[in-house]
Amino acid sequence: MRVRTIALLVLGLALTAPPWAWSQGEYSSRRTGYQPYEASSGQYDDTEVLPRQRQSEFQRLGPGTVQGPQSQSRARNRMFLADSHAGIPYYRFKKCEDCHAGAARNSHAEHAGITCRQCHGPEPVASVNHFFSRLNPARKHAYVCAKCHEGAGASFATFVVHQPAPLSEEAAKEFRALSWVSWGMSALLLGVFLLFVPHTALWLLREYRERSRKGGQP
Amino acid sequence: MNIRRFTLTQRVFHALMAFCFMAQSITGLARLYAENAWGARLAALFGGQEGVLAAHKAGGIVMVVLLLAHVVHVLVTSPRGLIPGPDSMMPRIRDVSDFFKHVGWMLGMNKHPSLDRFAYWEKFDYWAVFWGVAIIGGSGLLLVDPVASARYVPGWWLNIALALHHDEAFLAMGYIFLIHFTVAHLRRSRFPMDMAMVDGCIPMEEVRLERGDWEARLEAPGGAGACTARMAPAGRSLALIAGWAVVLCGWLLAFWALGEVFRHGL
Ligand code: HEC
Ligand code: HEC
Ligand code: HEC
Repeated sequence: MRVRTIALLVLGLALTAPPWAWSQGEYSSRRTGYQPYEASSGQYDDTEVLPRQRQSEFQRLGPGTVQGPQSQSRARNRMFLADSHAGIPYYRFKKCEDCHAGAARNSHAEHAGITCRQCHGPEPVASVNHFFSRLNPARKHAYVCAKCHEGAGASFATFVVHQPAPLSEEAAKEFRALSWVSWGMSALLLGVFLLFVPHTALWLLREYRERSRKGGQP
Repeated sequence: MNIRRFTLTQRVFHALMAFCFMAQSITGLARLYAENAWGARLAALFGGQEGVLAAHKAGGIVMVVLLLAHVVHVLVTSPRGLIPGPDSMMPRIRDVSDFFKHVGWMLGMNKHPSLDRFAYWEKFDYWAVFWGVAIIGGSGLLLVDPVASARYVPGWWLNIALALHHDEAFLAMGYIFLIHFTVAHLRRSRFPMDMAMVDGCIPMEEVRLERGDWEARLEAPGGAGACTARMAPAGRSLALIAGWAVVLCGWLLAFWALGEVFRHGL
């Protein structure tokens, strides 16, 4: 009897105990070596960033990191440069928002006065998808977001800082879930007000005429 | 004669909800229009954007708790209200026909329908709070601590939560400030204020004129008792002042927000 209890206890402990502490041993694979934070954003044995083709349909509802087939021509695409402004004339004499007006309208800038450089870093400004960019989805949670948001994880960093306008065509292409939700809510708003504004106006009018005919008596 | 309509607990819930709603509208608009002079001025009352954010989060949590407390209260005191019936808030088929008859009456096509205790627009008001708090409270709770919630949901849900929160806020403020306030304060039969939510009583004439089906049930022996304990005149004037303060505050906010929406879009 006691033997069986002890055996069960040991089994239970073995099943519920935390996993082996890998940091104590030698790394046997790259995946294990990534444990500290990169592994929390996906699997990095083959690719830095999970390509869109390998995301599930559900993940693809959300914003993407690497877009469509045009990303094949990486070499000459500014989205993958270490200095995304290399060779752009007069770059030094302008402000970020002169050229990226849309990017300046983000809630961090508007609500908290956070500047571009607090996230994008000093010169050279690397493009977001560059292998070693601080904003590369593989590490931006640790290198950028966590500077201010203590404990930010990879999931947190999938928040889209430069969110396209929710009702725009851009959102319909790049962030389908946001587009659907916003169009749905807009339809709800329109429906409620189209129904209740005339309803209330008619009602006011009717009671006004009703009571005045009867000399104010209810 | 007056008929009892709301219990004290229900009226207290209504008052607390109204207070929270106004607090959330003020702090929410102060955040949304932070760059605007009025936004900055309102925010200054709370000690800047950080103070506004803290107040907004606290107010939102209180509001969600209030709704949950109401659900518990209903389940404990009147579980029979969950069964659709004349004294229940559950929607019924006749609400649809009541709606068309009521609109017909507004257009002068037929007589005023003989409504029951809770009319369709009152049920809509009531259930709107439920789906409203589900949407705005659900998204708001995610945003109370975005870093913590991103451990359980993908971070891009926060973008969606922000959009939902924003749209539902406009729906709720538009409905309350423009429609609910008009129905409860500006209709000629209720001007300057429908007192049912203040002293819990409704005058018999109103029941007779608008809610014939309820009246018929009241006349049966053992029906709901008369409302004898109306509030003292001083209390009623105070409630009137408080009510109009809330209404004017709401209209001011609506005027401001509508101006911003026309200038910059939703
Ligand atoms: C002279 C105009 C100009 C100025 C000023 C400028 N940029 Fe750019 N930036 C560009 C152009 C053009 C591109 C390439 C756009 C593309 O390929 O879509 C670019 C690309 C980028 C990218 C990479 C885009 C990607 O998809 O990864 C980032 C990040 C960026 N800029 C940030 C900044 C920041 C931060 C500043 C201010 C310090 C700034 N830019 C100032 C013109 C400018
Ligand atoms: C809170 C951090 C943060 C701030 C502040 C910020 N960015 Fe970004 N930026 C990002 C991230 C993260 C991305 C990656 C894509 C995304 O999330 O939208 C990005 C992407 C970009 C891109 C690539 C194209 C795109 O829209 O995806 C450009 C260009 C850019 N930022 C410019 C700017 C400029 C200009 C400013 C200042 C007005 C700025 N950013 C401020 C975090 C930030
Ligand atoms: C320089 C500091 C700083 C950095 C870096 C930063 N944030 Fe923020 N973030 C803030 C502040 C401050 C707020 C609160 C702003 C406010 O009042 O809404 C905030 C708010 C947020 C919110 C709450 C929603 C909102 O819009 O108010 C989210 C989500 C968020 N940040 C995501 C991110 C992500 C993702 C990154 C990394 C790409 C990031 N932040 C990087 C300072 C920062």
